[in-house]
Amino acid sequence: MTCDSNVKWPLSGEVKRNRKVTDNHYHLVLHAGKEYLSSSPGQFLMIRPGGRDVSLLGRPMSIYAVNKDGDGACVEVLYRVAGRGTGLMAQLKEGEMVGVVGPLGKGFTLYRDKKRVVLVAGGVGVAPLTFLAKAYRNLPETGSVEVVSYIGARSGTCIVGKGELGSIGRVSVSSDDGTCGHHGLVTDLFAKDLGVFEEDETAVYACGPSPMLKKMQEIMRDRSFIVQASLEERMACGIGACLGCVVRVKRGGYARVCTEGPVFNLKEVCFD
Amino acid sequence: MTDRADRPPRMEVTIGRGLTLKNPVMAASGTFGYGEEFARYVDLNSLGAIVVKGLSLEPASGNPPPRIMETPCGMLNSIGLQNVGVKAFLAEKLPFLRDYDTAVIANIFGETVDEYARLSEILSGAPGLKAVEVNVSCPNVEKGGIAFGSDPDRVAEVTRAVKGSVDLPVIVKLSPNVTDIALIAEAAEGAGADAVSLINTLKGMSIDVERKVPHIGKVIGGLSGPAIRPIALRMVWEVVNRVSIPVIGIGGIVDGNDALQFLIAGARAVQVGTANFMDPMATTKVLEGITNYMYRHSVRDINDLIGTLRV
Repeated sequence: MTCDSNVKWPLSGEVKRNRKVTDNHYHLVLHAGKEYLSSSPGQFLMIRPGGRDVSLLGRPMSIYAVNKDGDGACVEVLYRVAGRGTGLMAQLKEGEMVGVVGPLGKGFTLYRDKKRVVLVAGGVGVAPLTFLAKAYRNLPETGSVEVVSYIGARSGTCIVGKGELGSIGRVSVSSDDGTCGHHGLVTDLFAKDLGVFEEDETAVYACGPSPMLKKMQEIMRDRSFIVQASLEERMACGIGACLGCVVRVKRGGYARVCTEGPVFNLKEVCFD
Repeated sequence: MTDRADRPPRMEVTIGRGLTLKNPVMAASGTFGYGEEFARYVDLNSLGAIVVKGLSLEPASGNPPPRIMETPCGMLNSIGLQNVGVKAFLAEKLPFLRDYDTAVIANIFGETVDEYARLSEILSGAPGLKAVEVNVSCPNVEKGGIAFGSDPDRVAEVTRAVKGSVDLPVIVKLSPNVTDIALIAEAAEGAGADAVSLINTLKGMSIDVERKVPHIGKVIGGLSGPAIRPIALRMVWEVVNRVSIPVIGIGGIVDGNDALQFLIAGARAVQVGTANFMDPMATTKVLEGITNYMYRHSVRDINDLIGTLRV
């Protein structure tokens, strides 16, 4: 017997818009196949600029938003220029084609019985959490859920996504250099408010660099909150084959961020 | 009219005794998982073969991260041969692949000659398995790998052990981290290998100067991708001229042109590796590129192209 695997998942997208939103931070909007409409919050794309001419691995990018667009999907990401790959992405012009693989990975779990959702974002970590906040808003039975957000960045000029989360709920801002909001870490800002949240009525979500997530883990260690975190790792394939993006987990061994994650129960991850 | 110009060219190649592939494009071990990861993107039936992720006797958890780093035209990796183990492969992974019309090849590695022999015994007779590829070259595990691959006597010993324990064609995958790779290939041939495949990754290194730390957790990793292609091609050329068993070319193949270079140099087939990470459909594109070339040059049979380099 031969399997019918005549499947051709769409693996490219057309740049509709690629705008700088603030220092080094960009908002990329792609038109991709209708298959991408199935994306859920916390899932990601591997985006590879340069078509076939540039030898380059894709770069993992959490999905910021997905909407219907003609007969396909309009997929958005936020990214910070950090190296060669994101540098090439920043040069993308409207109408150019990019390699896209996705939606990938295991996204956030939505808890329909919670009264409150708390989001803690570092830098462009705000992207998947914004997608998540909107998903909570769009659930008919959770129309009254309260969404509280904490956004942090190195500097006030690096704060992205404040307006959008602000339209959904209360937003507190911090900056490492004190140029915007609380002077200090976003995790400290969140920790100050922790006492007002009921543990069994609140779901906490975090996304940001590893040191921030490690801090979150310390803050939440002796508490019973559900905490889901979206992790970031260098990846080669994004689809579970290269085994390059692993993180050590408490149950032993390693888990692939691309496949078992990128969203994990924060308490199960080891930050070495 | 039996020779119409648009008749599909003949793509079948024979890799040693008893192993015929429907076409010369194979997915390289460690870059294609156990096939299932790619089924959504690639018609697995279109591949000449799938070489699965390297298997050991027991499951292996692999090296501490960071495990990968992109480098100019390539990447470094130090995965540490993380795998599900041979028993889980047979029970959980092979049944999925068996249903596809492609040759499934098990890649194996061990830390002792006996481990290679025991792995081969376990794989012997596994339904749907078409060949065994023996990794004597992985530079990532301290005790094994490199010690075998850089010594012709040890390569011969491992080859004999595998040949004596399995009733399938045996491909020996060679390390480029040696002075004379053809010498190692000769040793494998002399010990009864049905074919050799080359090259595995080249040892490499990269440093984050801001933090003064290596980009790879284990400091040294294996370099792959287009950066190594000219070296791989040179080594394939050297080996083709020194052995008479089939040679499988591996190293930075991204498109049809890259694959054709190896075939014209004398490789009987090619493996696509790192390119699968850049583009899950890379294998399909390589095959299309070869086929288009054959139409353009009116080559009716891929075997008429192999080893046609004019020097």
